[in-house]
Amino acid sequence: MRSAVIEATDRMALSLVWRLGILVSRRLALALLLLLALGGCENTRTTPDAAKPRFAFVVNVPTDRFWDIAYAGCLKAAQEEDVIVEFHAPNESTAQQQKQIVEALLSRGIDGIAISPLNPDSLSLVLDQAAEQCPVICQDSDAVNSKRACYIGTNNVALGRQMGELLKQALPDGGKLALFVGQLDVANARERQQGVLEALDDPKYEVLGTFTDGAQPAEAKRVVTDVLAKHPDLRGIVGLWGYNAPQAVNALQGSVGREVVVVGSDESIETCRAIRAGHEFGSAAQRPYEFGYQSIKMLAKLYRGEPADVPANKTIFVDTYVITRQNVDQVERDINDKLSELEQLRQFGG
Amino acid sequence: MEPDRRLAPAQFTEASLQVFVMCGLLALLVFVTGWWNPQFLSAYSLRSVLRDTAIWSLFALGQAIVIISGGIDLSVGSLIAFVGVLALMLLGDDFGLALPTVLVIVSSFAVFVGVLHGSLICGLNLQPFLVTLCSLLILRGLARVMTHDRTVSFDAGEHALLRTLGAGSLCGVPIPVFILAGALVPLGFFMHHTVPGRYLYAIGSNVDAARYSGVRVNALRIVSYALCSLLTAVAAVLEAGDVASVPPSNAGLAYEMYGITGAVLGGCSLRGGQGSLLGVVVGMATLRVIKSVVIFFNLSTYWTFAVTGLVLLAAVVVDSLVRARSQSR
Repeated sequence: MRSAVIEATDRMALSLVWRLGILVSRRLALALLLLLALGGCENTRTTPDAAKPRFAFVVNVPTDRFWDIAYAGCLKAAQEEDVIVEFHAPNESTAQQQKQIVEALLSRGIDGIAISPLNPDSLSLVLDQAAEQCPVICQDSDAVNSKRACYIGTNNVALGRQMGELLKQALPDGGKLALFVGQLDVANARERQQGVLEALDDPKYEVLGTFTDGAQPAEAKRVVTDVLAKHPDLRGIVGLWGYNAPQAVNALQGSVGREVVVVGSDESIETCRAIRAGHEFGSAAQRPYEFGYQSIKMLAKLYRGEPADVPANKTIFVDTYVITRQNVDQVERDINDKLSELEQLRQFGG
Repeated sequence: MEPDRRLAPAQFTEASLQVFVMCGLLALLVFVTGWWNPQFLSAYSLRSVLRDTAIWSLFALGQAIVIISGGIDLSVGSLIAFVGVLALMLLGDDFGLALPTVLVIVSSFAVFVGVLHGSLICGLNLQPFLVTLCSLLILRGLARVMTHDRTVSFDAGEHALLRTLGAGSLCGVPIPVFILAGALVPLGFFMHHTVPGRYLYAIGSNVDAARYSGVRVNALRIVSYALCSLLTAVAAVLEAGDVASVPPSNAGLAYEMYGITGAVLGGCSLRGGQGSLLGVVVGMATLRVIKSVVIFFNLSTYWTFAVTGLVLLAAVVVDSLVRARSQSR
């Protein structure tokens, strides 16, 4: 009898929770629909007008500030060349998703593709197929063995050297150093590592190693903390990917009194913040706006059969620059100008 | 009819044996690593290990309670990402809410998610694996939609209280350790010394027997999922404060596996009905120390997964041998 009563109250409790759940779920569903309507379409962005040549700018991560700046460059070039630009970002950073994007573009009849391939070996075949149908170029990261017309992007070895030079500037007397990056199986990570090691090829600099964190900021902080704990005499840290240096700064904040120079790459909000506060000595940054601008300009020339001035090695390097405490405010202003330009170009349809 | 009260103490003994083995393994790892490089035992290093252990233990305790009651929650990692971005967005300039208000909102949301999981699992008799797998996808997706896939971060000076909660220390002890202790004591009392807590073990051991014995199975299972989500939300806020940024696409990635591993190392059986909360904390500490072992022994960080797997396998084998020997006596 007692168990029957308990079962009945249990059922009543469940039914109450269930009804409450339905009530809340309805409101939540409405909120979710609104959220999806507002934010669900960011992965593919297109400028209007179907009659113009249509180019695709395919990137390698879902989205971030770096690619927003590149897209501003794309839209500027699209306006000048009177073409349409589609911006495509994979939901997950996998070569398989990029392959699916390229295949879908080809079946729709795209007029040109500028892609940052995640894994050159996996994508070469589909890029070769694409190159038979329309002009294809690589930007940001190269697929050397494919039939792409050219590569437009950073010389990552030179970027690494720039980071190494920054560290030498901050630590002229030398000391123990450590490098940090998400993964070393990505071409730009290895190239930057090579550049840093070339710049620090001096017996007074002892590089302890390159430590990986699986591209997770929380893990990055843990790895830096362990390395700092293990080496009380560590003098310098180089973060090869954008989030590495800010997480090194974060780890150092728990170690009062340690004097460790941190150098990083790129121009993320966190990096600029750390440089402005004096926690990060400097950063070697790329010019994503130029990636976008020059890629669309190049595709327009190739599409129209105009002379494109592609060098014999099919490589067009975009220069890099250094962010320090002296110019960080100016860099932030420039980035904000480009992002405002992006908003304006979007509003006026590129 | 009351459930068989002899059940829980018997299982507690078996789980405590595993806790004993894990404590031994943890002590061995700490001793050998400290002997190899005394810097591992420096205050800075130990603070970092303790802080991470405390944050991870919070969501692992939640996972353990669900596993003890015969369920599983795969949404932990995605909830870490969702609550992390939600908390930072609510604290940010657009909303400008105070931290206590944000804590109330994210805790209420987490409890709602847990109650929803429990209600779907009990009300519609759905598989916990499937329901929480769907949540894993939904919450991760919503975190990315809400942020337009951009990392949400803050300046340490901006949210000093959040930063102190996640990364601060009191008398040299990381604040998350106090928060863990504040959660562990009442949870331990609830699980090991109260009737509803013992019923959770009974439900995990044999759900039908528990139901026929008059245990409020559905209500208690809903409570277990709500507790799991609530503890995960607390861990999410602390981790956001510690790391000062939450990337929606990979924050908390695979944390559900950490939680499950910690729970199993802590003596939980995936079949339910056994496990010790203190053991879960020891399990999570072991997982964290293994990460340091790789660096302090001069191994490349690529070795982390392999070393973790090997140490865990060793723990399972030693535990199995010790148990077989104790049963044969």
